Amino acid sequence: MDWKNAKTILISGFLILNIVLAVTIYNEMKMDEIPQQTISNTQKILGQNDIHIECPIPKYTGNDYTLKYEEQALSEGKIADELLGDNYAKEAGNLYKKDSKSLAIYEEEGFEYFDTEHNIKINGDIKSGVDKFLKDTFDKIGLPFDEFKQDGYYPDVENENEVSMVYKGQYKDYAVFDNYIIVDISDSSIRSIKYHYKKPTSVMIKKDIFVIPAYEILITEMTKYPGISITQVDIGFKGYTKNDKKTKTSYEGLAWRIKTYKGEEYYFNARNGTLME
Amino acid sequence: MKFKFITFIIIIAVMLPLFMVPTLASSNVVDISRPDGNEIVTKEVFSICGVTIEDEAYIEFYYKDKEADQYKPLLTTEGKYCFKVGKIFGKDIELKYKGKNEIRIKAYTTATKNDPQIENYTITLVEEKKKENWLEKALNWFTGDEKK
Amino acid sequence: MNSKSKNIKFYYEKVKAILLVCLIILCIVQIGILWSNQSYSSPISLFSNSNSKNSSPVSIDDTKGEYLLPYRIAISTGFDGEHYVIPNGSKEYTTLWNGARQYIDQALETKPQKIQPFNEDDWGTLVANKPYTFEFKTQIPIDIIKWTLNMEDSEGEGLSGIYKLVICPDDSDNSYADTLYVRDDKNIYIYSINSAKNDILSYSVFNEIYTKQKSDINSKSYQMAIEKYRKFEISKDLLSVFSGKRQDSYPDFICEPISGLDKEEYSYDDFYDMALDLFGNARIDYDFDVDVNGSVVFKKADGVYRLYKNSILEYKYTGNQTNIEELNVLEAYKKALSYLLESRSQNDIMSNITVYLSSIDIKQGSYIFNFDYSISLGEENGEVPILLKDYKIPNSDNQLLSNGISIEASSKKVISFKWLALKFYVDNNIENYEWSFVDMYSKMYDKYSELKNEFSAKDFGIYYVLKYPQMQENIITPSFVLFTKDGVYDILMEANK
Repeated sequence: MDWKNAKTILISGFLILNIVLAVTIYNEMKMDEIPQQTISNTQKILGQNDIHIECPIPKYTGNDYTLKYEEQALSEGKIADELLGDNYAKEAGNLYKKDSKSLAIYEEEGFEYFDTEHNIKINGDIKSGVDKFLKDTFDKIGLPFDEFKQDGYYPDVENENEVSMVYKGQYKDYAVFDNYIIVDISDSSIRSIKYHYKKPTSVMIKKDIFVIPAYEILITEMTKYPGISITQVDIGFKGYTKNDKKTKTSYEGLAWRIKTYKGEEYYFNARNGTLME
Repeated sequence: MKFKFITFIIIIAVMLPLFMVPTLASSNVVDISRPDGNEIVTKEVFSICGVTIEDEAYIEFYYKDKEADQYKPLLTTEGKYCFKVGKIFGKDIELKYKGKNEIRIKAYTTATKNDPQIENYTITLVEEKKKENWLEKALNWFTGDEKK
Repeated sequence: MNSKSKNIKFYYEKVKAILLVCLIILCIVQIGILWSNQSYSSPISLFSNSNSKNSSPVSIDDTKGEYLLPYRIAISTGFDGEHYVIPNGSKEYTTLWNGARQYIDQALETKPQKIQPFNEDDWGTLVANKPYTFEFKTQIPIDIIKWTLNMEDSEGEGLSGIYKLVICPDDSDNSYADTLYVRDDKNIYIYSINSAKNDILSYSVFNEIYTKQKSDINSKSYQMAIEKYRKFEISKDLLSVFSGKRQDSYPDFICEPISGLDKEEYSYDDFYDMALDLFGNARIDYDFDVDVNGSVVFKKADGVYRLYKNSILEYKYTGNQTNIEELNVLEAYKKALSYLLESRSQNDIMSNITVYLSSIDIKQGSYIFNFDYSISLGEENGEVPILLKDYKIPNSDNQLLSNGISIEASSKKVISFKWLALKFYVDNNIENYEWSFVDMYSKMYDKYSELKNEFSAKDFGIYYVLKYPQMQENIITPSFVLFTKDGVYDILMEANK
């Protein structure tokens, strides 16, 4: 047998095969990506439906992930002490009051603080002022302020003195939408603080489930709301938290969030595109 | 004197029904639903069915033998003529004669063994009427005749 | 010079060999990459989201007939004659029901020839004498019947529903016309059919089925209560064996709750497996969790499923509550049916089950359709029904679940759903049972003191009774069940030794 010739023939054959396979793989990889054409088409379609979008449309179409939470009780006393001061009165349920301030702690997962007067003043720049206040206060209470990130700053359209600041939870590199801090400021003082937090413990990949790309959601769902102006499209963890008080929320999957410039948020289940409350 | 006598009569008249009723009642051990009075039937196999007034009873079946002119035990399809039955009962018997069959049912509890309830029935076995209905056609068709 | 070129040549050949091996390995690696990509890639089309998933591949128009099947079909040769129950799902059953459907369609085109108030004795006499009887478990509203049998809207005037019906072709009591007797809860309606083109239930069909039944069964045919216990308070059309005994064989059953339910604590994988068991591919629509009572919860945007420890699956609609909608039994029924179809298409737990509508309750703005199911024994062996006893839903209401499936629906949507989600396997062990109504009643009489009142019976049947909490992968054998006006009584049947 003429090995030399055979080898040459085989080498050329396998070389061709390799090239073919490499091209196929490249095409496959390319196919998984969303072409730019689709993105520009999406923007056109949105425009035709009177939807104004001023942010980039994410191209993520990879796997779905699951976030696991852990139960962690809130120390009600510490929160009340810090926010209300001394001599507060505890009323029915989980309600605390002192003068113009009121504090409601609910479901071991969060609290709402209201103040009808201007007790907590923010000096200088509101953003950094609130940041500092929250950091100091949360450190004293023992709440994890470092797991939150500034998410939005929404001045009231009618009244310049009223501003709403939103922080959203952060775990590793993922946004956790169900963890939030919402601070309402009026005349440079804090009117209310709403806090909701569950402790994320781990993220697991779901190997055989993939998310629906954002452009699909925009085209099929957002066209139901003509006239809105989208300022942000991102993905993070969100669960069904509102539909049943008696269940805990231990696991959540990914959801697309579409934010308007007024701060309205639309969440869509990233696996099947249904609207989440 | 007369007054005492009248009182005595009244007392007897009142007490008598009170005593009669239990004795009458005790003689009813079973309530028979089949036979439903005297019946005319077309099948040899007949079911005697009923419900016991108490929780259980003993029943015996007899038929009047036409030659001997006396009641003889009537065996059911299970081969017995005397049974202990529970709350409800049903037994199949075979009618011996074409035409009239005199059937007697004796029923008693352990307490009333010596004073049993006796029911007599006349069950007449006749030929099945040749009704021109389609079921008839069906059965005839099966046996090979096709009548229209 | 020669050795040098030889060296070079040798070296060259070696390089080629190595190159060849590398290329082969590279090929294998690339094939490997492509292979693994194949198994993980999922081509997502533009509209492959929840819209397409909600429309089940099987439409209710194709399968609605499966939910309006007679609970029992019986043939009779006459009063004091023989009565046979045709096994559900058998060829004969299908033939007879198809025939009956045609008869119903034709009969209801005209008004009833005669309407008389319902009377137990009259009805019992009809059932005993006439050849064919078809029974549902409850009165089926006429709108549902018309829709299922694709009848015209104008048909069935005056009839509120069908509970039982008797068909007599060539009825000698009605001038030899093909006659249909229908009963609802109030009246008996007599319809006569004029056209003579019906051969479906003709005497040859009857005869064939009758001979088969007679030859098949080596024990007594059934008798009817009106023939034997007419004077007592017993449903006159009750079919049983009163004198003599009957031999029937029944297999044992194994019933299994959803696997993984008995664990103390659930991991994510446990939830995933349960969701796969119940929802199949649709499991990705749900978020999993546990509620404060320890029941597994599957959440989606507008509804919550709860899987309780005793394998009851409950669904509640949690979306926006709209105003109370107009009551329309057919629309609500369609919603309930679509829901049930979708639920059944997602798993194979109900694959060997036939569902029968047992009762309909009316609430404000909605109907509750209660279904019971029977397990198919395969081939021509019929089905055996399941009866639930003492199954409570372990929540704060502690409601009793009396039926295998219970769906509450308005004309717009399904509001709630309850289902005893057990998997049933027919065991290889088949036992023979010798029984009669008389024997079983006597045994019951000893066991239940409530029966010591007057003798009365509304209905009876041989059921596989599921009792909680004995149900955890148990072997079930048949029971004799008696329905009286006071309640439901059951007693296990004893197999022949």
